[in-house]
Amino acid sequence: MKRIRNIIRYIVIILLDIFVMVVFHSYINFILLVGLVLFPIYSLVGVSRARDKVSVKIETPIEPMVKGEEFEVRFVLSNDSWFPLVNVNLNLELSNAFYGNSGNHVLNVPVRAKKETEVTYPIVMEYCGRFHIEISEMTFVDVLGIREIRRDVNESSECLIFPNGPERNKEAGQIYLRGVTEALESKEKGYDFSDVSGIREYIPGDKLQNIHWKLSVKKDELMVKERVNLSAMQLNVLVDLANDEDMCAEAVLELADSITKAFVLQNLPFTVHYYSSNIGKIRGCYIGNEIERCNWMEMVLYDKCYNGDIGMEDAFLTENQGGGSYLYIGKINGQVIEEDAVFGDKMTGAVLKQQV
Amino acid sequence: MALLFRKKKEDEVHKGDLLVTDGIYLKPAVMRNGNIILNCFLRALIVFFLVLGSIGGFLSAFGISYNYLMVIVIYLILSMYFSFLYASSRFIYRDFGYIIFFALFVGAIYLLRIYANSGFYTIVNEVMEQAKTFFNLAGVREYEVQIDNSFLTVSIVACFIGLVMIIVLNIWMYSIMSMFWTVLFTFPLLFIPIYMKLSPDPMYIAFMMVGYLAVLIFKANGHYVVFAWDTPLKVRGIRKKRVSYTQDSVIFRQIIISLSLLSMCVVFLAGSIMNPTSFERKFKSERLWNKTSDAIGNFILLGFSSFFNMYPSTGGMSSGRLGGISNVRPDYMTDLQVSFVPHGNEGIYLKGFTGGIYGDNQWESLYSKDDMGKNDQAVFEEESLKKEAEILRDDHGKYSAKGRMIVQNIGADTAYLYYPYYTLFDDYTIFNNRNLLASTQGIGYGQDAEYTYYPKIEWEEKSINKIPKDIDISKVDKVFLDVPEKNIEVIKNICNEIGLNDSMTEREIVDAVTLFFEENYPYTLKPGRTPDKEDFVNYFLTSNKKGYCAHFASSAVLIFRQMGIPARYVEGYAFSMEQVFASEEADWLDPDDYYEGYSALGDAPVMQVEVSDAEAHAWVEIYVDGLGWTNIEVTPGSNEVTEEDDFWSAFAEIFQGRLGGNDNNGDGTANALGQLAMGRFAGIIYIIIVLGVVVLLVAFIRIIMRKARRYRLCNQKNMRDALIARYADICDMIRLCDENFDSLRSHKEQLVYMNERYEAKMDVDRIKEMLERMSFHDEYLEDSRNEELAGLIAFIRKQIIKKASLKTKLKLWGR
Repeated sequence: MKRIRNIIRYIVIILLDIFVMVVFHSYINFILLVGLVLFPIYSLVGVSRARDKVSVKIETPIEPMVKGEEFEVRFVLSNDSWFPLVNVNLNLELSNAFYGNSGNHVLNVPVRAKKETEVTYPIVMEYCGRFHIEISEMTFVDVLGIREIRRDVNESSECLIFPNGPERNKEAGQIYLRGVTEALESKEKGYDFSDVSGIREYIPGDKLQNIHWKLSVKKDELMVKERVNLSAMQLNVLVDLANDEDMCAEAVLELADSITKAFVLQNLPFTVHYYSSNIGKIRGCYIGNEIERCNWMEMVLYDKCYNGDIGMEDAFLTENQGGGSYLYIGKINGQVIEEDAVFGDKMTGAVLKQQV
Repeated sequence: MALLFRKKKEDEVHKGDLLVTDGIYLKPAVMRNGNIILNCFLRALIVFFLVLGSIGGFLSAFGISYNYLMVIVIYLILSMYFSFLYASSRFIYRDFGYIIFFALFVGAIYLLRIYANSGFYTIVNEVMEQAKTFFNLAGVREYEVQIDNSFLTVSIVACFIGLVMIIVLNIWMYSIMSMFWTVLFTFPLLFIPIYMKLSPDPMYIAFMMVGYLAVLIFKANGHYVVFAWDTPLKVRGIRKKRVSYTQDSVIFRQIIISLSLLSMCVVFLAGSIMNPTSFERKFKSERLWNKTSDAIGNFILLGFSSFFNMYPSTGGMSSGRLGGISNVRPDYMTDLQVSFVPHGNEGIYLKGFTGGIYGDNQWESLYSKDDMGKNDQAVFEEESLKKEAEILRDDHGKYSAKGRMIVQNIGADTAYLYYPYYTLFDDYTIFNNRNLLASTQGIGYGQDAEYTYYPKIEWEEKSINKIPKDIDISKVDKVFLDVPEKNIEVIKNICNEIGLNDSMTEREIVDAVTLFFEENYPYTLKPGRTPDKEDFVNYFLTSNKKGYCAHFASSAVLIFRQMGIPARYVEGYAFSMEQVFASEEADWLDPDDYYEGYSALGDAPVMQVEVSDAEAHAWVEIYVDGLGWTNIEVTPGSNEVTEEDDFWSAFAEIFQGRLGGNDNNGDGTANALGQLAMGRFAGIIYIIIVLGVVVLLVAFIRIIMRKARRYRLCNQKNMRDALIARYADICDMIRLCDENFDSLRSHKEQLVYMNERYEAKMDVDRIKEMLERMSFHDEYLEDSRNEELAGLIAFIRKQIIKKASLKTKLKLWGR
């Protein structure tokens, strides 16, 4: 519509110019007419030339960000042609891959000739997850706004947004002691209570929990963390990433973040289990320090939340039949006895449970 | 519900942010100062190009030189000043900025008023000079310039005019980047040279081209308006979200540089393809100029009154009608073309109308309305001085001469013949000057009349030295001695005032009257209209005491009659020998065919004189015993050298008045109040009216367009979007009615307000939920709920209009 309006406006101007030129024999209008005729050629040639010479790059923060914190996404458009473009439209898709929601909009950017144009997008994520931004198409509009040329592009970038759980060191310490005691009392299991000593390529037979997922994604091959056993003491933490319309997964992640952070701060090793939608089964991950905790969080955020009760607790119990207690972090729907609900509210919380 | 609470909390936290998708917000970025400054500078540059192109182009087209450096620097400074002022983040800066500017402006006007005045007149003079050549005008006037340094004065006036354009353009540039208004403000000035086939310097055309194309580009691509309070990321569009990045002055700069290079190339290319002369040759038709040059020429001389060119405002013949006009506005167009051989130094009088009977503010001829033309021949013979001509033909002694004159009627009244004194007509049964019944017997347009006349070269002074009572009036109609009753007293008083008495000779009386008029009754073309119920002559002699030829001639006739000298009033054309000598010599005509006999000038060529309506004249004929009817000039010379009456003068006077310039009256009131007759400002008033109508029309069209856009949005197929648009629309309406509504942020608060103020009687929570479901979740409601919501919105809408005051109703209509 706008293009048609621009074309009509331009034609009207040309006609008016011709009218004045012919009626008044106006030399000024003759020169203007030459300009008005040549300029669309310049404009159209310019957009065609620039189309193939413009490239776009998206830059997001390399380090994970914290939810609610502003971070910048930079679009760097470089134009190797001599033609500046006032309107280049980038069809953007911004999504949170963890929750699977996305939105599209158009970013309209002028592109400098023979230079880089940098546009900074200040973004705030209200939910943690994996922020993904993708440009699927670029539309180049000539400077007169009368022609649009499209070009498919496949440029994307992403950034992890970590939860920002409040400090719960005291409560976490207490629950840890209680949990571990209960666990030892019930049954000792040969858990892998160890520290990371190095990174190497995956060898068949390696524990799945030792796979360094983020590095594997980057290197395009499975990498595993080599561990040194430190202790046999451990606590199992089961994180249920089930989501609902009230975004309970967000609260669960936040709670899990608080608790695990507190464990790590107090040097309390534990194993965290969650259901991975990507591989379709429970995944366990030993955490002994902050790096491992961050890796685990990255692993979770590279995954997806799921809707409704998928029986992940049962699956966990089936896989871990050693008995003892475990810390369940998830949706409790107010059905838990008050003293069991260690943290959280009535809907989501961390509850120490005993394996039957 | 938890979801809604969370949403609400998010809305509060992210007020002003763009919700890209659930949980992802785009924050507003902060505009960089450097970017604002550069953007303002570049925008100022567009305004600068346009103004310099327009004014510089105009001046260069007329070959008026000015101080380029000074004008360019001042335009740049002013453009930037207003650009920064307009984009300024705080309104207080703006206000102070304008106040400072205004103070400086007033100071500059006061200090430079004489320079600006002179510069303006210099430009007007140059334009008029070109117009004179182009339109072949005889009578353009030159305005007195107080300061001769046109280089400086033109620069100063260019700065003042440019200043106005810069202010106006700057506003349009920032608000709507409108091509229409840009052209409207900058191009019309160039129409003047364009019409006169003058071209500005190519440099200025290039400037204008850069400006126009820049406006086109930024209009076509979005405004890229940068205010200090702006955000670099602007969100546009409702359905399809669109974020525009406005913070890039580099692109602005690159576009302007590209346009400058391109424009220079175009000007160079176009100039090398065709220069103005060869361009002009491409056009064979001059139809436009043929059809309009007269009108435009008149417009240049007379302003808008030239479009209402009725009798009262023009020169030429008035057929004896007096007093109905407030001023005489000659159009200086040729009325007659006269070919003859001059024979002496006296002016030439061509008789047209002869008035014998005075009454009801007009002169009537002696042609009777009742005798079916029986006496026409006799009247015409007397009127045309047949006897006197025959005497001169038959016996003029050594001064005997015979002349031939060809008079072509180009634009004069076709009711009359215009013949020289002492013409003998071939057939007195055909010719007469009876305008009432046989107006077609005059000279038609384009027709020639050929006259044979016998010039009276030497007067016998003794004949006019008789005292009136000794004149043999038996050969004269008694009517030529009649003084109407209502004039007798005034005329007698005037005769006493002049000091006329019965012992004075005709010559003495004529001289005394002429001197009296010259000393006491100034000549003016603007005597003002004779009031109703006032006698023309009495009013002139006793009250107004100023007038033009008809006043003097009419009064003199009655004075002469009062003194016993037969007299009559004559209208026609009179021109001086200076004008004859300044005219074209018709060397293709043989003088021998035009004149024979005695000539005080010796062998003179045939002269072709263009007689304009400015030469239309009224004079007196008195009867001299022994000589018959003789023409007498009693009208004093005109001293009107500075008093102008055309459009440019009126315009110039306004300018002068505002600048506190010349004071013709010497009492300080001339320009302030004394001469502010409404008629003088008619042109300005017309312009204001036309501009007002245009502005109203544009405003009306804009309102209609806004309404159409709103209608389209509110009635789109997608009911959800339509309802959201309708709700937004009623919120806008309420905002117009009550500013406080703006402070209500949530749907609930708004709905409660509507419930209370407009008695909507709705279930606020339910409607709120419906609205939020639609707005925040892109949900579609069931048809019944859509209808319910639509009905509710329609009801509130009606209530808003119903409860609005008249002023608010107007606002609502005009939004």
